[in-house]
Amino acid sequence: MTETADLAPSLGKLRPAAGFASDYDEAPTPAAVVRSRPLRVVVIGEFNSGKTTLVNALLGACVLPTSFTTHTAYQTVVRFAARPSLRAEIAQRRRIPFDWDGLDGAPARHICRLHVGMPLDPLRTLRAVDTPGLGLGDECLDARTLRSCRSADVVIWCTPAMQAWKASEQRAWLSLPRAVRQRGILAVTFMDQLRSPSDASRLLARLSADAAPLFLRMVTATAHGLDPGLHAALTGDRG
Amino acid sequence: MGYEAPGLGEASPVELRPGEAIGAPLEAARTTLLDLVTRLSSLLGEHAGPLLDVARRQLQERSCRIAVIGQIKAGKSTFINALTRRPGLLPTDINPWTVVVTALHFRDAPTPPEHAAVFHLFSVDEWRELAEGGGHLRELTERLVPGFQSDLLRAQLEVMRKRAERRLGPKFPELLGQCHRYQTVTPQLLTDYVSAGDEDAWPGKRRHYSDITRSADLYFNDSPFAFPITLIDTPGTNDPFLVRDEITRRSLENPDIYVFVVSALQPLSTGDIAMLRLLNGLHKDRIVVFINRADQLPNLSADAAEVKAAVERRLRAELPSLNIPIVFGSAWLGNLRLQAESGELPPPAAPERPDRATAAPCPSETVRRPAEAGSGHDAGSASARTVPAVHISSGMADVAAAITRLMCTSGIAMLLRQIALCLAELVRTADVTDRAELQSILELIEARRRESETLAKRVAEEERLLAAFEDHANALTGSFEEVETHFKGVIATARELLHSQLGTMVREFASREAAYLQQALQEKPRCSSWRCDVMPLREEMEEAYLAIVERAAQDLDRVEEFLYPQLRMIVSSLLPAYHGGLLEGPAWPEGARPSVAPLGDKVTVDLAVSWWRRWFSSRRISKERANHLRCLIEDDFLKIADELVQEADTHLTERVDYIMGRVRAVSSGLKTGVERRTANLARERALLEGAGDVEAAERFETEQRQRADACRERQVAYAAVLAELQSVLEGLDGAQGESRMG
Repeated sequence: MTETADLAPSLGKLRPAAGFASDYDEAPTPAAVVRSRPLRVVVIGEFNSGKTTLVNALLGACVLPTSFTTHTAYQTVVRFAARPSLRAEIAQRRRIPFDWDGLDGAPARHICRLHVGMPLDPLRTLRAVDTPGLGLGDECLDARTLRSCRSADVVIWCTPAMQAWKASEQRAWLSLPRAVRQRGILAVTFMDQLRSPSDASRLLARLSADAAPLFLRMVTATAHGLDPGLHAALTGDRG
Repeated sequence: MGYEAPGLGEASPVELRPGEAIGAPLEAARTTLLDLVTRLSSLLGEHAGPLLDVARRQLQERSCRIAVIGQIKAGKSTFINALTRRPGLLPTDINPWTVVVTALHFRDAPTPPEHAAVFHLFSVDEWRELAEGGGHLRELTERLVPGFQSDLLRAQLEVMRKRAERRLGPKFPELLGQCHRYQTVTPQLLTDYVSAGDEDAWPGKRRHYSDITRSADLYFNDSPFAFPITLIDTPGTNDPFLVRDEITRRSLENPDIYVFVVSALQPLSTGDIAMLRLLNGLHKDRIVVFINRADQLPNLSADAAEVKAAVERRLRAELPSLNIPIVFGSAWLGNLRLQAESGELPPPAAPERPDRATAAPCPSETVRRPAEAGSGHDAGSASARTVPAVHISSGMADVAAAITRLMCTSGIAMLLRQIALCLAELVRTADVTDRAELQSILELIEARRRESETLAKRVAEEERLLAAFEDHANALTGSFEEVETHFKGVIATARELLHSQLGTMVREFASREAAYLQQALQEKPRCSSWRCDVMPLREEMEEAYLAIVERAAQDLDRVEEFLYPQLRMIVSSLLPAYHGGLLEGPAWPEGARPSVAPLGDKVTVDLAVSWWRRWFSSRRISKERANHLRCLIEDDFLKIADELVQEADTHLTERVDYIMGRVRAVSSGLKTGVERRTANLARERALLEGAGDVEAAERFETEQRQRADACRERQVAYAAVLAELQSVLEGLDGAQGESRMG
C-alpha cells in the first residue's frame, strides 16, 4: 500500500472550511497570480495552541492530522502538487516516502522535516509551514523552530483563547528579530471554546491592548475556520 | 451506546461532597487534645499554666495552609470555588483576574469572626519600591542584558501607577498603609480589591483598590472542611504583566500543602515543570497536581485517558523521585453541579457548548485512518458524545482525599503529635509528684499512729529527703545553664560550618561553570545552546545543609540525653520505686526538617531560555563572559547560603527551646510537688512540737487523708488522660502510615 493510495480516499472527503475558503473563492487576488514565488507562511506557537488546525483551516482542507496528545513532531511544509504526495526529508536534502501511521511512534531522529504536496487551490499562492509546539521542554527544538521564522514572509503566532498570551509566549515572540515580528500575525485560536460572547470581547480587548501592538495585526480562529481578516491580511501583505 | 471514560474516576452522577472529609482524622485528634488541655488545666498545678496556654493557642489558631498555584488561566479561583462549595465566591474571568494573594480562612467557630474581610494596602515604602523599582524582579532583569524586559517592566509599572491614579484619584498615595475591614464578603467587594478589573469599569462609581492591595484575608465560620483550613488563592504565574509574578512570590508564606493546577489543554509546559522541580526540591511530599478543564478537551473519550497518562509519564520522567498524586477533573463542572444542586441551574445533562469533536469539520481520523472515518460522523456517535459531561467526575472528591492524605504527614500532624507528647510529659510529671506526696502522707500517718518518737524521726527523715532534693534541683538548674551554653556552642559551630561549606560550594560551582563555558566557547566560539543549569548546585547545597543541620541536631540529642539521667535521679530520690516512663529519649518529632525555602528563590539564571540566548548575543569576549557568569552565580547563591544559615539557626534554636521547655516543665512540676510537701511537713512539725493539742492533730490528720484521697483521684484521672493521649498518638501514626501506603 503506497502513501498516495492511502491518502486518496480521504482527499475525496475534503470539505472546504467555512469562512476562509468561501472568502478566498470570491476574491482571487491579482497580486497572487502575479507573484512568482508562493507566500511562505510559518505557523508557530506553544504546544496545543491549534497550529495544525489553523493550517488546515487556512488550506480549507483537512491536510494534516491533528491530535491532542501526539503533538506535531516535525516541521511540516505543505505546498502545491498536482498529485498528493508525502515525503520525509532526511540528511542532505534527500526525501523518502512516508505515511502518517508510520510516525505514530517515537520521533525518528534522522528526519529533518516533512513535505506534503496537495492539489489545493490555496497552495498555488501560499506555502504553509506547520511547526512543533514550543514549551515542551526541548530547548534545542524550540530554538530551531524559532529560527525557521526568519525566512518566512508571514509568521502566524497561535495563542489559545482559553489561556491566551502568557509571559512565556511574549518572551519567545520578543526574542525574534524585529524584522520578523513586523511580518507577524497573532491568531487567537479555539475561540469556540469560550463560554460566552462577552468572554470573547473581553479577551480580545485585553489582547488588543497588550499583545496586538507587538504584531502586524490580530485575527481570531475556530476549529471551523478563520476570521476573514486573516485572508485579508495575507492578501494585503502581498500588495 | 456505552460510554467509557478510563481514568476519569467513578462514573457516578452523584459525587462525594468535596471537602467534607478534608482533614477529618486530624480534626479528631485536635478536638481530643483541646478537650484534654481544658481538663488538665484544672487537674494540674499552676506550673503547667503557661505550657497549656501555648498548646491551647496552637490548637485553636493553627490551620492547615493550602496554597493553590499554577499558570494564569489554569482555573485556580474556579477550583477554590468548587472545593469550598461556594460557586461564584471568588471572581473569575477570561483574562488573568486574580492579582492579589487572597487567604480564605475556614474554621468552624461558635462565634462569627469579627470581620469577614480584611484588606491590607501597600505601605508607602512597599509601594515606592514596587512602583519605582520593581523590587527583586527589577534587580534580576537589570542583571540580564540591558534593555531586555526591563523596558517592558518599566512601561508596565508606569501603566500601573497611572491606572491607580485614574481609579483612585491623584491623591491615592494617602490611602497607602491603610487596612480596610468589612462585615460581609460580597463578590463586588472582591472584585474591587483582588481582581484586575476592566480599564473602564465603574467609571467614577466605585473605587478599585486592587493595584495597591497587598493582601486579602477572608474569614468564614461555616466551614465545609473538617479541619481548620486556610486556602490561598494566588495570581497565576507566567503572567505577561511581570509585576504580579513578583508580588505572588513575595507574599506566599510557607504553606503546608500545594495544589498545583494545570490546564488539561496545555498540561505541563516547560514553565510548569520548572516550578514543580523547584517545589519538589523544597517541599517533598506536599504537592497535589490537579489537571483542570477536562471538560474542554476536544475529544473527551479518547483524550482524557491519554492526557492523564502523558502527564504521569512526563512527571515520572522529570521528577522520578517523587510520587505526586495526580487528579483529573473539571472545577467548572464541579461548580455547575453545585449550582444545580442548589436549584440555580438545571443539571448539566449536556455541556453548554457543542462538543468540539462533533462540531469540527475534520477530525484527525479522516486522514489518519480513512477506514474508520465514516463512522465518526453519524448521529449516533454525536449524541453519545454529548453525554460524557455527566459522567466525568469534577475531581473534587479525589482532590479532597489527596489533601487529607498529605495533611496526615504534614507539619500540622507533626504539631499535633508534639502537643500530645508534651501533654503526656506534663501528666507523667504530675503523676510522679502525686505518688511521692501520697507515699509521704501515708508514711506520716502511719508513723503518728505508732508513736510520737517515730513521727519525729520520720519528719526529720522527710526533711532530709526534701533538702537533698532541693540540692539536686539547684544543681540541675545550674546544669541547665551550662547545657544552654553548650547548645549555643553547637549552634554557633553549625553556623560557621554551614557558612564556610556552602560558600565554598557556591564559589567552586561558579568557577567550574565559568571554566566549562570558556572551554565551550573556545571549541565553538558562536555556540549559543550552552546553558548553565543551577539545579545541581541547589541539590548539592540542600544535601550539605541538611547533613550539617542533622549532625548538629544529633549533638543536641546527645546533650539532651545527658540531661535526663539527672532528672531521673531526682525523680528516684523522690520516689524510688517509680517506673513511669518519664523522659525517655528525645521527644523531638521524627522527620521534622529544617526549612529549605531560600533555595526556592528565583535566581537570574533560572530565567533561562530566552535570556541565555540574549546573553550570548551580547558582544563579549569569552573570558569576560565566563567571569560575568561566575559573578552572577556567586551573587545569587551566596545570598541564598546566608539565608540558609539563618534558617538553620532558627530551626536549631527552636529545637533547643523545645528541649529546655520540656526539662523545665518536668523539673518545675517536681519542684511544685516538693513545695507542697514541705508546707505539709512544716505543719506536721509544728503539731509535733506543740504536742498535746489532740483536736488540732485530728483535724490535721483528716486533712491529710483528704489530700491522700485527692492524690488517688488525680492518679486515676492521669491514667485516663494518658490513655487518651496514647490513642491520639496511635491515631496520628495510623493516619500517617495509611497515607504513606496510599
